[in-house]
Amino acid sequence: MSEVLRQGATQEESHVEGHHNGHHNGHSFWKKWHKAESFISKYIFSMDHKVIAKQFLFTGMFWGVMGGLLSLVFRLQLAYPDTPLPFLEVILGKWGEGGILDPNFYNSLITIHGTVLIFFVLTGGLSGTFANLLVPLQIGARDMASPFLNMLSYWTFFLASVVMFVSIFLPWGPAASGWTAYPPLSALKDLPNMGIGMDLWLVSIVLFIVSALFGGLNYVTTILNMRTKGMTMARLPLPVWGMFIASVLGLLSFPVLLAAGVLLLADRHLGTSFYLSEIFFNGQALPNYGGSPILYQHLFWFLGHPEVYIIIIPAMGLVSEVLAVNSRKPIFGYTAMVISMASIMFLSFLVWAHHMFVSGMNPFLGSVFMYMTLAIAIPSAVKVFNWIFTIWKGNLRLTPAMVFALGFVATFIIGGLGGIFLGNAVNDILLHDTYFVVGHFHVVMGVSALLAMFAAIYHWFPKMFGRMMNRTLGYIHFLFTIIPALLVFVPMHHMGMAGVPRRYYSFQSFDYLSQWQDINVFITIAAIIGFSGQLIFFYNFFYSMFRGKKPTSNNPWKATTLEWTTEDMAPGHGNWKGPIPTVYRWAYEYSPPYLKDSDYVPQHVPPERVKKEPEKVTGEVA
Amino acid sequence: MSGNGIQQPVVPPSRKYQTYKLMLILGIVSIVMFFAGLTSAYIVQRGTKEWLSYDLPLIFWVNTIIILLSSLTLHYGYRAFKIGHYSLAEGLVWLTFALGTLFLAGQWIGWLQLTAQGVILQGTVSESFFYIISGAHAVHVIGGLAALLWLALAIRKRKVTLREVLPYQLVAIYWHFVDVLWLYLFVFFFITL
Ligand code: HEM
Ligand SMILES: [Cu+2]
Repeated sequence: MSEVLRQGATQEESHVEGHHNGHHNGHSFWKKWHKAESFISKYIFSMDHKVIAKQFLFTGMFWGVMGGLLSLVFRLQLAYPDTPLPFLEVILGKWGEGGILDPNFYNSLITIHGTVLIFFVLTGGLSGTFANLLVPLQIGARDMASPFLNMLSYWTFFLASVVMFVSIFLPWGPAASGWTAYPPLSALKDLPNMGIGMDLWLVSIVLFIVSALFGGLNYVTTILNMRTKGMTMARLPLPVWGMFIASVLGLLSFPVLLAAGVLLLADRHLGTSFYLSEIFFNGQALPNYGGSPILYQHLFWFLGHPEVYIIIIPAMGLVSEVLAVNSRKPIFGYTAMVISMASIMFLSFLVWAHHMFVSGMNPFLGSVFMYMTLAIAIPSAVKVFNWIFTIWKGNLRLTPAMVFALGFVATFIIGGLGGIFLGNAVNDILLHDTYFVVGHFHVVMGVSALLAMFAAIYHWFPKMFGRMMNRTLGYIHFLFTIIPALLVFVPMHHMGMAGVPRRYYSFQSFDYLSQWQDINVFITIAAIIGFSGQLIFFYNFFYSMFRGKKPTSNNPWKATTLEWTTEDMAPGHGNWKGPIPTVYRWAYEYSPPYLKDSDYVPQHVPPERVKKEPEKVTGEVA
Repeated sequence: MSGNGIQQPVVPPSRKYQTYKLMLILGIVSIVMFFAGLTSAYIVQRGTKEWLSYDLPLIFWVNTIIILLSSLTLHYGYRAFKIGHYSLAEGLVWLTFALGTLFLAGQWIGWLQLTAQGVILQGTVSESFFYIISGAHAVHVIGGLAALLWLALAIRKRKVTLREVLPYQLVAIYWHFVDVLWLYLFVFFFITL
């Protein structure tokens, strides 16, 4: 291996020389051109996984802000339904005429909010970033199996983003069907905001699926085929396991969403009737006959449910790593962690109809799905149990990353408990399409995955940018995230139990709902505070990127995994200057009894060295 | 292609074959899921009372035979290729390409005949499904044709030779797959319509 490497390096040198000689006396324009060209290939159309990781991160952050802002607009509507807010007209134009939010645009806002947060932030932004950053670095590979496909994966994601972004500003209005895009609504292109906006939404989702498939192919292949010597599957760090399982899940379920989308597009533009039958529209009967909107629901949720685990399983992996490193203890039940993730993956294919208990399905079928759904609680509980026992009696270091990871565990428990209520068909018939569901999935998926993403950003920031983020600001950010988040979403559970339906523009005309007005104001204020809290994060992030403290060591958290053995994070250098380190043990050798002065043994330190001088084992590059 | 400066081999040569084949096979699994989604949607809808049965025109039989033949020619091309008969191999790849194109033309004629029979895309769901599913398959065939075209030219320029057989293998795996996929779809429609 090292030989191949050295050859590579000499080739490179001669290549660079030849390149410069050719243009040495050339026009300065060409010099500039070449500079620009190498900038583009290094940082823009880069094939380096570390650069691509950052591209996913920045795009994800952009959409995070966007999605958050959209939610503030509709939260204002829910809090002050009849009060004209003149600035709405300033920012929204005709959608906020006279300061009153257009009801169709309200639907558009919730649609785009849900879509971009689920797909662009928590899937693209979270997995895209950390799979790209960590998979090659933690398994000991020079890059992804196919760097080119990896680049394509980012740029199709980018294109999906552009299409979605454009659709928001077009005069015809962005899609207004909810993130689930149920027909018949989504199939009728003459409804307000359901014309070009909906088409662009579908195009964007198709592009996103393609991007996710490209990414997934790469992650799975890389993990299966490109691990360094000694890195058996049973020694993989848990983030890698998480990415692996979630990618397999994505490869199997995203294509089905694509199928649903293709049929929907056909219904919209080719005059088919897959999802339509006997619809009266504008006083006329449509010619469509024989289809069924329930068919779409089946196809959609066959992806839709796995999708929530495509989000949360990588988050679980990242959190497991942060918890173990900062508890200075081996992860509790490593094998159980892997098996539980795998069984969650398996079960998540068998539960989709729990989103459809009220669609008129056969009650017997419903109860089968109900038992499958409740069975997911078992592996989920195993994971929670293992996290708690990982930190139990650990030597906790409450770094910002650790605090966020603990927050993840807490919100995952709270939200998961809501899931148990919903999983019982009998309860769900009452709770379906109420704010209880909104509260449930925001806590268990929205908040906890976001906390996991923050944990990962704080933890791997020194790896990505070579500097540390500010701790104090990190803690303040945490408090300004988790407290408002709970103040927003816990009351929603109560509203849901009282029967407040989700996706309503206003509750003014229903007596039994108007009593929730004060709570709605409260939630909106909490949401504004929570959003403002994120500004602290952005300040910290960008300030630290340029001005943050430099870490005192290459391995600031004293972790065992391979990503901390690389010195050079410049793109295109194949991660390790010398040969790739060999791995001798699993990733969680923290505080083993045979060590005296140090409390961890990195994966790449040979056992002979540990035996000979156990006091000198550190994570520094050997 | 790489602007990244150092040209370190990202995939060690010893693992290259495994890696790209694995990637292709995973991609194929995804495509299978796509068609599984469509065909199970079809089966679910089949239970409804508005279901219309119809006969597929004879030409779809012919097309099926043509695409099966094309797999055969590609396979014999590979045999020739492996003993270094590059020109013969190239010819057989071209022949495969021609048969693939013929298959697509045949599908087109089949759709026209169906429409003439009164089975139209905008008709009942069972009619629409046939067009959408066979159309989606045709899109995958077009991808395969592009790959065959590239392969034939690459063999002509001797870019793909015995020292570099991987591209041929990858194209062949994909082409055999779209072939088998059609066979499955054809049998599926034959039984269920
Ligand atoms: C013990 C575990 C869980 C159970 C039993 C459960 C059960 C359910 C049920 C039955 C629903 C449908 C409610 C309805 O629409 O009437 C639902 C909705 C939802 N769940 Fe869960 N869930 C669990 C965990 C999770 C996790 C871990 C996530 C995400 C990471 C998640 C994300 C969602 C989402 C996004 C929705 C709503 C989708 C929508 O209608 O817009 N759930 N859950
Ligand atoms: Cu679900």
